[in-house]
Amino acid sequence: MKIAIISDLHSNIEALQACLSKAGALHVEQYVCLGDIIGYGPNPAETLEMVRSLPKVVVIRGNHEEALFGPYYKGLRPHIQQTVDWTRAQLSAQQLDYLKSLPLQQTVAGVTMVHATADKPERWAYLYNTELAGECMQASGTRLTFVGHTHQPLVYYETPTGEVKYLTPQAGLVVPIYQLGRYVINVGSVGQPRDDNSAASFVVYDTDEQELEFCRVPYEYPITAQKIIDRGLPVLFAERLGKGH
Amino acid sequence: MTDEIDIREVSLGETIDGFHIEDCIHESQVSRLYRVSHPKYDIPLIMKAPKITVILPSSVFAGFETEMRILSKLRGVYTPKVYGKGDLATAPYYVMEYIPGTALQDAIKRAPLSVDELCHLMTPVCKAVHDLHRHNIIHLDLKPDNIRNRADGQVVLLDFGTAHQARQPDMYTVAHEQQPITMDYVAPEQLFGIRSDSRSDIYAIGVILYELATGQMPFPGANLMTVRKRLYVAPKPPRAINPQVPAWLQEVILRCLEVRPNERFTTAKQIAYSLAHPHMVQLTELASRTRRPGPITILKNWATNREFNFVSMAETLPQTRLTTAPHILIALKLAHASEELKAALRDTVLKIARGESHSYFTCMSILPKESFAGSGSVDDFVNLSHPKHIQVQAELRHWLEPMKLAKSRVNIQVFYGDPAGEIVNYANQFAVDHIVMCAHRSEGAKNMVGSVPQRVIADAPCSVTIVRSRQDKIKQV
Repeated sequence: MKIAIISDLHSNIEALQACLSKAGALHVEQYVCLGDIIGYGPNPAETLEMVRSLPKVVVIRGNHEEALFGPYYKGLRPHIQQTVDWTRAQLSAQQLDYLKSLPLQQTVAGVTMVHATADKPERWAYLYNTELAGECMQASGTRLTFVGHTHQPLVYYETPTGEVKYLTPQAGLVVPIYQLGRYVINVGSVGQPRDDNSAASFVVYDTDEQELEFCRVPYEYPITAQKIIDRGLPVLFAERLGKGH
Repeated sequence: MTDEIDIREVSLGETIDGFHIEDCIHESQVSRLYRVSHPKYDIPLIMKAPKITVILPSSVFAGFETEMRILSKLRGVYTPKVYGKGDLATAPYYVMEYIPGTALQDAIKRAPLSVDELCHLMTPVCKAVHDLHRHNIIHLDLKPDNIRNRADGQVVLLDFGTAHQARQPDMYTVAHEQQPITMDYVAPEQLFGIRSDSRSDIYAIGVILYELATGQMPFPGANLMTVRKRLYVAPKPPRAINPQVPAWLQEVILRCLEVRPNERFTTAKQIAYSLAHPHMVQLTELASRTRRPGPITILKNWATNREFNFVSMAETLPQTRLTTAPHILIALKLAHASEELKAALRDTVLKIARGESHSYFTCMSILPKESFAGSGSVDDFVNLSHPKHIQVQAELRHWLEPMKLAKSRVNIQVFYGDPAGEIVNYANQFAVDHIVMCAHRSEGAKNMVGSVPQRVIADAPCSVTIVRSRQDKIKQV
């Protein structure tokens, strides 16, 4: 079975539509969304509804969903708080209830799905090095762990002697999953990539072939950027879509 | 992670997934090779299975899985074709075609060989290694035992347990290093744990060439204690062992065995090209060397090479490295080319030459058989002594002169026969990266179908650039 893992959509409906079109062409049967459906972008309600309509979808809570409800909000910078407030105002009570109910972590097909890291996921730490990735592997308890949060696709893997290495996947790269290795796979961001590539990022996990396909999908980001400006959201969030960082 | 794996080892006499295990033909410390049969396949098959002990070293298992994945990916041109594989979690194995030929191993026993036989044996090996690098795979354990041939002579590379795949997880570990790898063929940078430089395989080719040319190893009796000597002690020059080795071949061999990867050949196909075109080998001090460099050089090498930063040199992808030394085929029909067209072609070639400083060129003209009418026999012509042949060579050289390319970068070839067929054959034979050719007035767009450029574009194994001069186009209009 092919499972598409998407993350960090950030209210970017154009990017999500492009990814779903690509995933459909790859005959994906199930979807997992690792959170941050909302925030930064101009279409929170529409993006959320599109995610909820996906086949067999499993949705995980991200820090931007957390910011709608918890004390996490207070630690955010003012311009991000501004987008959280604006986003909250766009969502219905039912949609807010749904987002509030999302789990921090879930196991799907024997694989851990979490937004930031399996090691104390409620702290929303960023996996920026092999040491933190190793702690995530240890905490997850499964061979594979899929994460998002950093907006940069990356594969951390453990060698037979326990050393954790990483590789930066290129677009279209198919990475085999070794029988004995443990992996932490960052799927990148659909709605706001930050690896100097404006194309939306997601991963297809083939459970039969034990392979990961890293997909990059160009989308019409100027449309999204203009909507961000039109809605009075910080211009920074519009500008970074084209830059990819 | 645990080393204990809940899996079983396939056993003699059992039938698994239709493969009947008949006979154990080889056993190493970590795996067994079985002769197997399958009702669906009427060819000799071999099954490889890792030994499963109470505690299986997981590094061994990772090496087995690496090999299985590489062989499946390459689909069996220069590697054995895979016919089946077992579940890695329960009963790991894979089945491949049996590769019977041991031409290279047999030749090593007869070494030193004649130059002709050495070239005949090693040119296809170089092509096989080039193909591997094209797939971003570096073998890292090339040696005669791992190079066999099919019944039709096709070279096949074996044993990818320690190979490296760029852009893929590299499961090689320190535990791997404890496996028995033949130290004789290990490149200097491998001693520093570097696995991502495709020129490590160039070094191993150099060792095999040395063996074939001299009957000796460049560093005899290498082991873990002595292997680092190759960082500062140069091998004895092949001509000092076998005076029959020509200077150009010594140049090729010692260039492969340079300590620093950037001083070796960039690609394996460059070695194949040199073996086929000895007159193109630029001779340096390596060719004239009569003995090992003395103690002062050894001391100097010891001081510099042990600190040399091999890591920074290894970062280029094998596939990308191949593009830095492209082989360009320039196909010319000078007799039919206007001066404008000749200039336009030179301009295109110069842009490539300036952009890729390691590029090398074959400048080719093909004369149709009709050219011989009244000019003597075809055989005379092929023997390069025919006045017409010499005249075409002179014209090609004259066309090249304004570009001032180094002689070592350009090879002039005159063939006869079907132009498109000869161009495509040459491009296939020497893994040409790019063909540059002219569209003559008679081959304008209206007449392209069935023309030489059109046929080359259809059949060439590489990019093809068709050059047309603006003036010619205007005249046509």
